[in-house]
Amino acid sequence: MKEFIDGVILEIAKRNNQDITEISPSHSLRRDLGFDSFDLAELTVKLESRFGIDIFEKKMTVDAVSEVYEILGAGETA
Amino acid sequence: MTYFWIEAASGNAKTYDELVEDLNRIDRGRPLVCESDPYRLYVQVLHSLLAGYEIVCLDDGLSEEELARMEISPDQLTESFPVQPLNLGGVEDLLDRVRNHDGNWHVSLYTSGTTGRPKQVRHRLQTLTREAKVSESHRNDVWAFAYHPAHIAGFHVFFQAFLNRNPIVFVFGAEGDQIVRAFTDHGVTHISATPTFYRHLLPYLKEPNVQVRRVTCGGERFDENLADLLVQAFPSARVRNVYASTEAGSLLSSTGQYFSIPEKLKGLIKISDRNELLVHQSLLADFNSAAAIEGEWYLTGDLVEWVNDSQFLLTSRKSEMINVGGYKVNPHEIEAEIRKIDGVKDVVVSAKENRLVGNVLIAQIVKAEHRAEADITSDIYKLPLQSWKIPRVVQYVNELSMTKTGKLVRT
Repeated sequence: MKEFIDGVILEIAKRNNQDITEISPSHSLRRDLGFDSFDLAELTVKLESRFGIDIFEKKMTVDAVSEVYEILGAGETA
Repeated sequence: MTYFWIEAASGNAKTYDELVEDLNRIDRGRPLVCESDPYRLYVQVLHSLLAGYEIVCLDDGLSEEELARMEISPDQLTESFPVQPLNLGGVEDLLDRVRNHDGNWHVSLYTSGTTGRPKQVRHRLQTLTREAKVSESHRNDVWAFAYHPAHIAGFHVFFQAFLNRNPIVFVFGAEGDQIVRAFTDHGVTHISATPTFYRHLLPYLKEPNVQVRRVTCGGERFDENLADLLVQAFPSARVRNVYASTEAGSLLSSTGQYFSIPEKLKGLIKISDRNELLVHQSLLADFNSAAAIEGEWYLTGDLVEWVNDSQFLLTSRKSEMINVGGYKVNPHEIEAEIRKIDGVKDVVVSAKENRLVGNVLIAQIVKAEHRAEADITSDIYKLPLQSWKIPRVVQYVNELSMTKTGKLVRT
């Protein structure tokens, strides 16, 4: 599961020319990876289509990769 | 010294005196402006207003293909003609000349058309300033400018602030931390933005901002949950929801999701039997869209649901236009671009509802065998379109769903 989540995040980050090769649980989607609203929306839709959960449903301020793992039940957090 | 323009991202700033100097320095008029620098865009707009020539404002970064659909050649972007200097005597002279303008001036903006070609809408100063409140009580307002500068909502904010000689803090496109810092550093008191903007901003606000007195939401469907969060984030502010359109400007205002027709607009705005919001043609800017006019009424395409005898809720749009983060997107325009990509046999672009930006665009594609999915997807992300028009989810299917009349189904 984490592999899929990291893959989606990495794909979006790289498209935004972020110089990054690995996703860390402590990464902030907005600050460290430069996600804007459209990037966050893309992430939500892609994760929802795979896991059936909208990561922003309960909290609009989700930001750390570890929070995404936690919401989707992907095991360890940061 | 009063600041006129402050950019949150760069920190660059201009005072009203410097604005006057820049206006007086102009010796060539430009009938068509496509500016990446929003300050220069509004300098050109003010110059055209004062010098008395019509101006067309375009989004910056439009590709040649997008310009071609608007019937504009790249050469037109650099056209100019000589003009006499304005000889403004100072800031008060500038404001007096704008406030007392005879109204014989037009600015054209573009909005997504329903036929795949962007639609030109000509505005007069009166339609842009219809809802502007100018008085001594607004003298100390400080506005955050959070809309696209070449779009109608940006013009509303601009004139509201300018006519009161307020500083404008340009935050559109700035990063969250820069925006929060700019609010504090420059004492922003008024914000008008899309729900998408606020949702993006809130995680960066580490503590409530008590300086902001007015928070306005527009451009997208209002969201009561977001309104609660805004009240917590800006505890001194009144939260307001506005309904505006490129064709008619700002029309309705409310403190929540329900609107009612104000006394002064009764007889000029009505709801049809089919629950569509209609606007009387006397409130409209000039635009060429005969199909959307029925008798004396403009059909907005916005559908409402009555909640009681006088209040209604805007629920959806009648047309196929998709609202993405406050931008209206025409799926046909995007499909036409995707069809040009090598290996794409057919495509349909649809929307998936999303709580962050309203809708996310999804492209379903039937591909030819000779190209890999990853290569086509990569080409889609590089399409010469504005960023919000690029589908963020691309799905490959064996065939597209069709209705009995052969139309593609947008689920």
